[in-house]
Amino acid sequence: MIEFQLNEVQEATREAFSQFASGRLSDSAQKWHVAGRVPGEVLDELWGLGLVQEASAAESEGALLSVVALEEIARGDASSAFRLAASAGYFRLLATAGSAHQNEKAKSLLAADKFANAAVLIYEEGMGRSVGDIRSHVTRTPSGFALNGSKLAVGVSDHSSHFAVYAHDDHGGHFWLVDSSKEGVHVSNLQGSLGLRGANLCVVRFNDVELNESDRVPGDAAAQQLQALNASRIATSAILTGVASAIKEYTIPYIKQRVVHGEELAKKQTIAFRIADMHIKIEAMRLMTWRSAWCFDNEKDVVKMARLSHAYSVRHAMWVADEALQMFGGHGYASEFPLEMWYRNVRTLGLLNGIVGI
Amino acid sequence: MNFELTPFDRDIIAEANAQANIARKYAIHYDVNEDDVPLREFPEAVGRPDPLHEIRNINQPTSGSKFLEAQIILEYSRGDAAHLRKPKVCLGNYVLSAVGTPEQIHRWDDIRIAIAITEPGAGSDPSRVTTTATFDEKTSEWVLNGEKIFITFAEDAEAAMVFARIKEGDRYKLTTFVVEKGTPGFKVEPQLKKMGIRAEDTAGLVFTECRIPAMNHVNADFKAVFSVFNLSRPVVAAVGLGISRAILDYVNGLFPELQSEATYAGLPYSGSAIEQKVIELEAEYEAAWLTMCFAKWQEQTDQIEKERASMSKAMGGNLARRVSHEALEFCGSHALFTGHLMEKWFRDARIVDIYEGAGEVQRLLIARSLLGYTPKELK
Repeated sequence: MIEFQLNEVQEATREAFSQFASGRLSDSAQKWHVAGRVPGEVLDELWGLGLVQEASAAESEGALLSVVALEEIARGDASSAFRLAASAGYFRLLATAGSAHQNEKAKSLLAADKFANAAVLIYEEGMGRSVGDIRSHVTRTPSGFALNGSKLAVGVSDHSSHFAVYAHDDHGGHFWLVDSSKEGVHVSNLQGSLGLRGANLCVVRFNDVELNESDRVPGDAAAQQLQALNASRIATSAILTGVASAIKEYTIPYIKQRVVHGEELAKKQTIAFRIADMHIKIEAMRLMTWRSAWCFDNEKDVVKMARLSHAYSVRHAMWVADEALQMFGGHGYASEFPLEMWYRNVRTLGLLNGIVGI
Repeated sequence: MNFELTPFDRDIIAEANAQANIARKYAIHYDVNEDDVPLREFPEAVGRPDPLHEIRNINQPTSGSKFLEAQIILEYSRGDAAHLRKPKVCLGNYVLSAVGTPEQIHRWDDIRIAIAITEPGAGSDPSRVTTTATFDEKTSEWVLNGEKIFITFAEDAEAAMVFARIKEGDRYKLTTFVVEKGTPGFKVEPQLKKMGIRAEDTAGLVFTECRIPAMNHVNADFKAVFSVFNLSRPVVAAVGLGISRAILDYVNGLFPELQSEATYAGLPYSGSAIEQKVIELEAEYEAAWLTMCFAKWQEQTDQIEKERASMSKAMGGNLARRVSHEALEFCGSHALFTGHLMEKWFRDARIVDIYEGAGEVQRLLIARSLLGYTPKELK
């Protein structure tokens, strides 16, 4: 039957991440946005809450658990949520498709105290609109394989990163596990980005990176790639819902005390109606996210639902960020207030495909 | 959390779907012949179960009767404004059940009661109602004078639940009266000419020195009366969803002719402009559907947040406007001709954001709740 109840574990998860976000992330998000970095120890603490570990091990409802947590994290800081979700996507790929050997390595990363900087990398910098446009490729060498190409990536500046890189070869496309410490892996575009500045968006270039057979993720790469895209859409919807939520909650107290032409901004219909619309859209975004996460967990119609959830969240979260910024007038434009950070984060989230997962 | 319908749910929705498809046969006729009020039950309904009746006593796994009522109305609206069987209860009945005395509920148990609030000068703001009721001590009767407009089921209902002002000391108070058809001084006007939903029975009511017994006064707490709309609003959203679904099903059906399809797996803007548009509209549809389902689930599980009904209605109204406008940007000029359902759906869709509480009223209610403002503070 159709019902919207979160179970006890999901409620407890939501509560735990909500507390973490409000205690550890909300007050520092702007600082990290300016600095262009989320501190390693914060990511370690986030890692320590066990979401990625639990979601990748979950028999069922791992996706639902992830979206509940990601929304709360994003309410505090979008970049932190993005980093954790990227990691989640990598470990899910391995949990579902990795070889025994690959999962051994994954297990030790999951068991560690340190945040595992990882991501599934499919899309490249340019205008490519499909997997067919991907140029990264793997060729045979006397000793094994060589990877050449580049990918849009995240969070490489801190320490060694673990990537699952989608590349074509003579037999189609596959995911290859590549550690950033390998020779031939170069990071560029580290000058910063429009939004998600704490997440260190970058481009990773692969120049004759040596790989062997055991680095290839076995199985149907086309299906894995589609599932990764579904996961990224669902994760993005969850993060956008959290950011939009934070925006609305921040805006309401301001408009209730800001007096313009003899009365509070909030008492003017045009402002009040926009707040009502923000609420409607945010609540709908959440329901779309929950539904697509449920579809992911239950293998029902996930491609369509993930796409719709993403389409809705991207469009309407931008509206929320935009209208809220306007309500603050000049303060909305000034860096002292968080509106411009949120505005930039939302736009950035909407353009990125892949990278994050659940 | 679960998004799966039960077998019982599916059967009910399938029956409503089938009946809606049959009712569509009559769609053009009742749209073109505005003065024809559709039958209470069409011949094709005979022998078929009544989904609205089937959901009254469910003893199988189900998402719930309140949830299913909304899904049934969605299906019926997808078919046409005229249903194979008219519902046996109207909004006036719901109000009576909520606030009537046992005697009143028993007296008017088995008839249709149309709700009559709106007047030429009072729409979104019921406090501007000027229909008056004066008590005649000698005959123990109320005397009604006034005019109502845009009343749904005006012709077909056996009675009307009429909102009127009475004097209490030196102030006016808004209250309600049940007025039965046939009462001298109670006249139903000719059918209103409308842009769309022409199959729907809409007309004015005129009360001229209309005398009704004292017992017809439904002396209700107004909060209780208006809280009934919290239960009906999501069902009105279902009308918007149904018309939108009909339009979207039609445009999805165009893809073979266009030699393309809505490829959900693709990246944004990787397909044609029409594919991109259809995906956007399908997203809006799902968002509105989920909003309504959530409101109904809360009602089902006794955890009603009062804003949810308004959110459903606002979403449903907005959806109907958007989908009808944007689908007709590309669906082909043949759809403009009388006799094509698309041009009728475009005209039908527009009412949803207006009636049963306009979108603006819904936003007012939602905003007051979010901002903690009274009606005096946020108008």
